[in-house]
Amino acid sequence: VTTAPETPTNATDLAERALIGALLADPSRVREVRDWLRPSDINQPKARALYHTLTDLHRHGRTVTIRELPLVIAADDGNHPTITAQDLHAYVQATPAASQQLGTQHLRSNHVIYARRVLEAAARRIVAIAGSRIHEATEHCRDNPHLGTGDITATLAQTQQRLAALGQRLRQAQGSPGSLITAALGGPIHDTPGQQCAGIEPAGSWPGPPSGPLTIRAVLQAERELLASCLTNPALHAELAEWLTPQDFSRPEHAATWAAFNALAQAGTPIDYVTAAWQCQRPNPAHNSPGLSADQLATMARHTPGSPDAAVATVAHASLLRHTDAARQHVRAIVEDRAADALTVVSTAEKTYREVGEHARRLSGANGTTTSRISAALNPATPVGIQPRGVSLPSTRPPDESPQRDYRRGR
Amino acid sequence: MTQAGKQHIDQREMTDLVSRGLARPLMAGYDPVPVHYQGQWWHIPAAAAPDAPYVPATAEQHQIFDDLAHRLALADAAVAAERSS
Repeated sequence: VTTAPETPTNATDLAERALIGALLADPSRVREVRDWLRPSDINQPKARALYHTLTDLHRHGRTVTIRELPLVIAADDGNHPTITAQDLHAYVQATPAASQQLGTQHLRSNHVIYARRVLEAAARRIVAIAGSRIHEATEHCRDNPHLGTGDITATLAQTQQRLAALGQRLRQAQGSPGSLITAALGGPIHDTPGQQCAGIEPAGSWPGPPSGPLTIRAVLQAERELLASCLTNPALHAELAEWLTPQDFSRPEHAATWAAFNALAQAGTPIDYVTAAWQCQRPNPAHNSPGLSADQLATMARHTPGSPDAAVATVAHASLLRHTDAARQHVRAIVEDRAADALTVVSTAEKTYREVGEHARRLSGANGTTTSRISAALNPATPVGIQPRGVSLPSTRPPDESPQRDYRRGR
Repeated sequence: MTQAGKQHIDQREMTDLVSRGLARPLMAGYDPVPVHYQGQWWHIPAAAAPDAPYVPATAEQHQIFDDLAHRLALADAAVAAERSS
């Protein structure tokens, strides 16, 4: 494993390394960034020295091989750090490939986007040094509010129909209405056929069954597998983005990372571990976490993803169970609340039914997401990203969590 | 509306000016951030109180913010060209 030339600590470091790696791989790319990115904008000394040399060489129309670069830098008058061949190799390895076509060997790079990130980070430093206040604005919502709206009308109509019957029962029932609602949420119903449609049964095709029991470890592993797969194959994210929401992930850092992927996609920014790290760094109060760290994302991108079908199914299955359990607990709590009147109980049940129904229909594939579409996103199977180096996925499990505990009891 | 010759602009008023497109922040996605309005840069000094208003930048700061704004505009154009290619 090649060591990093300078230990990355944040998204800006990753962007600088990725930029320099892309420029080393093809020095002619310098012309696309040199007019607006200066060497002084780069924070890391080695990266700054390399960028200074590359822009200088390009300006003078000189070309040198990558092996000659350390000598060229050392011969420069400036006070530059020592650059080794190992450093150069590590920089090149640190650059995600934006796209890759088998056969034509067409390679693209996101160096312009990385350079824009580097400039933005430099601008923050420069503004602060100039004595001005600068903070990133808080984003209020990066979710996809449009998701699932296609099913809301039908679900609401069915829910209203069912709750109308529940309301009728409540008016006629003796004692607490809680048992009726709890039973309706937790077990089979025996109302009219039209009312039976208001349940939460999956309406479409699943990507596939979960491959094993839904333990905490299995769910977390599936979530990491899914995130890693999307990092190395953005086509998979494009396929899943309209289907999975951040709330389908059990851990806040995974949810925030998925939200970051969505935000990048919505802005038309390519998804790789550099851009994802940058996006995760931005304030996001919608989640109780900034997302996975820059190091975790970089490590993830080195993971060789397998077929994500089982991971997708596990994440979807676990999400639905989580939502259902939470809904049941929520209704139970309101039912047991002596201060809540019948109208409040019914209205809570209506809202809960609607939400669970929406989750179920979305996750069951009612919107058209099927195994074949996910599989299509995976072909060609060649992942886009940095070369796999057999590095295992980072663990984000807190130490106090028993991996074998049934996840539903653990929530 | 801010009157000509005004020496400070409240943060809320500046946010409103930016949201209405009457003022241009140095970088989108930041608040507070130096803002260009009515031909000059406004900023909140780093050492000021949390609710301090925007004040006109000094000549030196003007030059710095102008340079950054120019380079960021070039960078944004390069990113846009990259996406459309």
